Amino acid sequence: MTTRAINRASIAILALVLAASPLVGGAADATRAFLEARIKQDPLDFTAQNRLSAVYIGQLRETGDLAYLELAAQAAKASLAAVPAPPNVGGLAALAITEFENHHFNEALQLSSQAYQLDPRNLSALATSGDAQLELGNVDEARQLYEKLAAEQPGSPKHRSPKPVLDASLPVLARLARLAELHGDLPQAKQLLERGGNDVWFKIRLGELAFHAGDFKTADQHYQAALSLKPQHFVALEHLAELAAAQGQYDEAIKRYQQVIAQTPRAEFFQALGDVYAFMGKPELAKPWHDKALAVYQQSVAAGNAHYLHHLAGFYSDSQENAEQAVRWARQDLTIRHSIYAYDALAWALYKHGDFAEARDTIAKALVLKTCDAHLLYHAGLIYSRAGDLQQGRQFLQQTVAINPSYNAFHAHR
Amino acid sequence: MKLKTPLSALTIAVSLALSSPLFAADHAEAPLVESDAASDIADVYAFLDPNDNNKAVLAFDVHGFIVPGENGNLGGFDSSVSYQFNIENTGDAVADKLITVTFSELSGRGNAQRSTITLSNPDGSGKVSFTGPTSPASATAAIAPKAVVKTDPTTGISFFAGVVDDPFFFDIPGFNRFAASVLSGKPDASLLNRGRDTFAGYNSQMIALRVPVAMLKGSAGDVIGVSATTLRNAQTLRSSTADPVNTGAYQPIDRMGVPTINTVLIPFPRKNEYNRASTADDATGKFAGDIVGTLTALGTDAAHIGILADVAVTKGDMLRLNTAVANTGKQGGNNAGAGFPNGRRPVDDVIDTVLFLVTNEGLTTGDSVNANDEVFRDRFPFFAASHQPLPTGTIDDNTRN
Repeated sequence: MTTRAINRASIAILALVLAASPLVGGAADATRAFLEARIKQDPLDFTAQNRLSAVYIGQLRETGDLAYLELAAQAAKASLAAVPAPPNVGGLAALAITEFENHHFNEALQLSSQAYQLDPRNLSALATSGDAQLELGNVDEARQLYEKLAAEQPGSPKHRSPKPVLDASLPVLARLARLAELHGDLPQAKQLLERGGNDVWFKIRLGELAFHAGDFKTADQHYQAALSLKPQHFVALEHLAELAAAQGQYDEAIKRYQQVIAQTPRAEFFQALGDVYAFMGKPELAKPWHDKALAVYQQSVAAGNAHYLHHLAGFYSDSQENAEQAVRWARQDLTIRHSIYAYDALAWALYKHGDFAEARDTIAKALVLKTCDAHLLYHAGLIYSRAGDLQQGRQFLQQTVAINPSYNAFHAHR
Repeated sequence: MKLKTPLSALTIAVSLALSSPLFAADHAEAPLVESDAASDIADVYAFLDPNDNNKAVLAFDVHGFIVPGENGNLGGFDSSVSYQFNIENTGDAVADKLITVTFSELSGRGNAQRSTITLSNPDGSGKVSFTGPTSPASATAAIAPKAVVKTDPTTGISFFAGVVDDPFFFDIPGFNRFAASVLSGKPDASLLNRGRDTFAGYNSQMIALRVPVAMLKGSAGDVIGVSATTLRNAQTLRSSTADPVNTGAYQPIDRMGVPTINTVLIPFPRKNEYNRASTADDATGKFAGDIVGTLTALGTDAAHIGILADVAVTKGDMLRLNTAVANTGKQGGNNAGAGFPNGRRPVDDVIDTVLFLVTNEGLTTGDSVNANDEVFRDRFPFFAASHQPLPTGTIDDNTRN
């Protein structure tokens, strides 16, 4: 092939990729370049700053590169500095998203509520309010907000013939599925996620549901589907890596994690690779990756960021055991949210620390929604047993095995 | 290749497995909610074709702020939206004729969508329809694809729909900073001296019709009222466990007539209600208090509030076009005294007119953005061709007016 022919071929491929999913890769880069040039010329152009912030968040999701989160926050702040809200409701909504991504859930809720109150047309703010409420442990409030979102957001066409039918939008389906999952209604969560069609995010979530039920074959199908929709997508790759390790295919798992780390060098993937080596019984190979992960986590919290508090708790509970540190970071994470997984992390850390009674009281809070999660229930089983309630403990363990017969296979900290 | 797990490793493996928790803990990053740009009306136009004053051009655009690299990338016109022109010709606030435009789904990038244009009475009777293609858009071509105009032989109506240069010109940050200075009691008109067109360089999706004036006129004689509404199928989520929802009747999402009324003068918390209301609701004074409130806060006196009310409240939020006033000149017409608030032509500096009235005729220089960044066409559809992506690395500060 001549260079020109190759170029033409790659343009054709690019066109196909772009046609399938607008605003990723080249298109997103072009938009970003346009908006960056615009705000360079006119930093007071808050409309461009708001759109740029959204483009950066999109690129954060796409690449996993946390630098985009910082850029998104900068753009939102510059926007509000130029023109505050009201009238700049878009700036508030953009800042709310960056606060949410930074795990500043109270701030995210405050900003997004203010934005939605100022302009009830801002459905992005409404969604962020629901997401923040969910992390803060206010599940009923989250449900109300999501239902309002479902009523307000235009549906997406499911099919047009014989009779036109709309389905709820993808953001709505994703959130309703999450609620169902938290409430332990896995069939409904699956049904809602299946309505997401050929969307990468939905394929990965479906794969996770199967993985958590120990159905590795189905998980693999969904993850592969995600990967073919978006080749090299880091989220699909890291789930495939986890799945390979769970199946004892360690070479494959290591290869996949290295692939992920090469394009998205995030600390949680260092930790996961270290965990694979530890799982294989190779602590000497695990240590450098764990050390690398820890260094980033510590750097992050030292800079005042909340992003890795939860990971630190898990890291010290499981990867490099230090129960005191685990309890410390889990408690810190609970100062910013009251999700069931934040309670679970503390309960598990307390268990490791030998504080069984407090661990039991804490894990009870993680179980209030009756979430069907083998790992929660496994923790509960051990904690209740050690706290002296053997019968309850045994029941939780039986539930664990029933939900996921492979509950003790490898899985990554998320 | 499978590794045999040594016994010692198994112990660690088990202990790790038993312990790794925290699933999905940070999995709340659900898909982002995007704004409903497809139904978001940017601007409405009504003017006589300067080449033939027996024809009136009615147009409105949606999906503002399209970056040239996204042209035709956003799914075209939304097939689940009904794009509607409301025409009033009896001298009240109630639409007497509707022209609705709907689109087939976009079958692939660069393809045309099939558009159906339907004239009817507001109750749906007296339907006349024809079809025409949308003009294709390109996110890569250096020069925008040619505009496709379809003229229906039966009705004599010409139709265009496609991506064009966003025709609006306005310094939004300048205006908002000026408004903030007024509200804080320290009016600073110098904040409007920037002369930066926030809309420069962007595109929008335009729907334009050229209609024989005789088809539009009614008992009110030469004056017609024009506004635009976008509607979507209402949907009911039967319950959170339900099957996909069915489509219900159309419900209004956005509407616009006189520029700045909805965008600037209706307070945010009332916008949803305003969008779902009708021009007849406007005339009953439903939103008069909101508009007066905003204007009073901006320091507009009673006399000028009266002038603005006359334009946009008394007979509903509609452009009023006197079809007996000749429109002549280039770019859709530019002769003095024939433009906004008599209808609205592409070249009309509507922001300067509104600022002049809102400031009790104190501010005569407006927002210092006095023309569009592109020259409008001299023939239908008049709006300028879309901006196309510039070669990588080209910085073109075309926001300077």
